[in-house]
Amino acid sequence: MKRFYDAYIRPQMGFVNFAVENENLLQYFDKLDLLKSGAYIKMEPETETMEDGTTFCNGMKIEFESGVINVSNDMAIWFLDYNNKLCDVLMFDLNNLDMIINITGIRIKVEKIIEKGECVLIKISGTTKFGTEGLDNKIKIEEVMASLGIIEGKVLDLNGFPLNVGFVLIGDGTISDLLNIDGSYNIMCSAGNYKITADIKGRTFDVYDIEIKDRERTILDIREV
Amino acid sequence: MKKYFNKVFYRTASSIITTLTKGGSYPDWTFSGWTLLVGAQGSIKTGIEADGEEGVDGGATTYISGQKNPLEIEVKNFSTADYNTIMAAFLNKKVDVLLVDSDQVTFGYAVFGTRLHPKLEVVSGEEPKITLSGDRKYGSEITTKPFQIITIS
Repeated sequence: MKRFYDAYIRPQMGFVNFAVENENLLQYFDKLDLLKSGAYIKMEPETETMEDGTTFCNGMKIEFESGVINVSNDMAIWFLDYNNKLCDVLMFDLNNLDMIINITGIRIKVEKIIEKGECVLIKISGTTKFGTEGLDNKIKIEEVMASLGIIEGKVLDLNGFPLNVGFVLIGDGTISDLLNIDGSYNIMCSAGNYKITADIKGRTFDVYDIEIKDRERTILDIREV
Repeated sequence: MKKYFNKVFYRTASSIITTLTKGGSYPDWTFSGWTLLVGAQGSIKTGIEADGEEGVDGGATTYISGQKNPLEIEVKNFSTADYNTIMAAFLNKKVDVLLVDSDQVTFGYAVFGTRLHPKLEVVSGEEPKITLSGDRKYGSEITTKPFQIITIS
C-alpha cells in the first residue's frame, strides 16, 4: 500500500520510544514540510564476492532525502544548523502507523537550492554506513498499535506574528514542545481530550479544549490574549 | 511458455534436488521443508549467465570459464513483521530459493546455495519495496549445477 510520509529530523538522541505515554513523541524534532513528494529512505547492502561463489554483506548504507522543502528565511537558517550534524530521522504516514521508520546517527547535509522573495527552497539529505551487526542500532522499523494523533500549529502574538521563545503545553504540562524559530510546534501523543496553551514569559494565552484524534492531524494556532 | 512466479519458497541451503512433491491445494501449494516468502512478489528475475569469457582458438571463439545465477526478487505489500522476517531469513544466510507458478506447477525453478541481500526502499507516495538480490557463481563444467529446473509431482 502507498504511504505518504511526514519526515522529521532532530539532533541525534536515539530512537523514539513509542511505548511511552504522556510524552510528546515529536519532542525536539523539526518537521520537514514537503513542497512535493519525494522524501525517501533507502537501505542498500554493501557486498563482496566470497570464495564460495556467493556474496557476503559486511555492511549497509542508508540514504535519506527530504525532497525539496519550502521554508522561510528564518527556518532556512534554522535548518542550516543541521548541516554536518549527526541526526535522527523519523518518517511515518500518520493515517497508517504500521510502518514507522526511525534512523539514528545519520549525518545530514543541507543544501539551499533557490531563493525567491521570502521563500527558500532547501534539500536535506544524509547517509550513514554501518556493519550489519549494528543494524538494530541504526534503523528501526516498527508498527505502532497505540492510538496516536498529532496537533500542530503556531503561537501568535496579538498582531498575528509568530512567537518563538517558549513552550506549548498540553494537560498538566508533561506533554510539551519547544517552539521553533518560526513559532511552530508539533506534538504527537495519545488520542484524547486535553487542554492546550502556550507558556511564554510576560504573555498570556487562552487555554483551548482540544481533542486529539487517533491517526488524525489537528491544526491549531494559539493566540495571545 | 510464460511463467508468473507468484510463489517463492526458501529454505536453509541444503543438497541440490531435481524433483519435489507438492502438498496443499491450488493455488496454495506447499513443499515440505520450504517456507513461503512473505509479502507480495513483484518482478522476479533469474537465469544462467556467463561469468568469465576467455578467448580461445587464437581468439576466434570464447570459452565460458564460469557461470552465475543472478536472482532478484522484489517484495511489495509487506508489513513491519514481514520486513523483520525477511531480514532474519536472508541477510548473510545461505539459502535455496524455489520459484513456482502456481497455475503451472509441473515445473519450478530453483537456485541453490545463494545469498540474497535485502535492499529497502521507502519513498513517500510510493509502495515500499524490498529487493532481494544476489549471485551464485560456479565453474562452468561442474556436473550438478546450482540452478535446476525442478520436476514437481
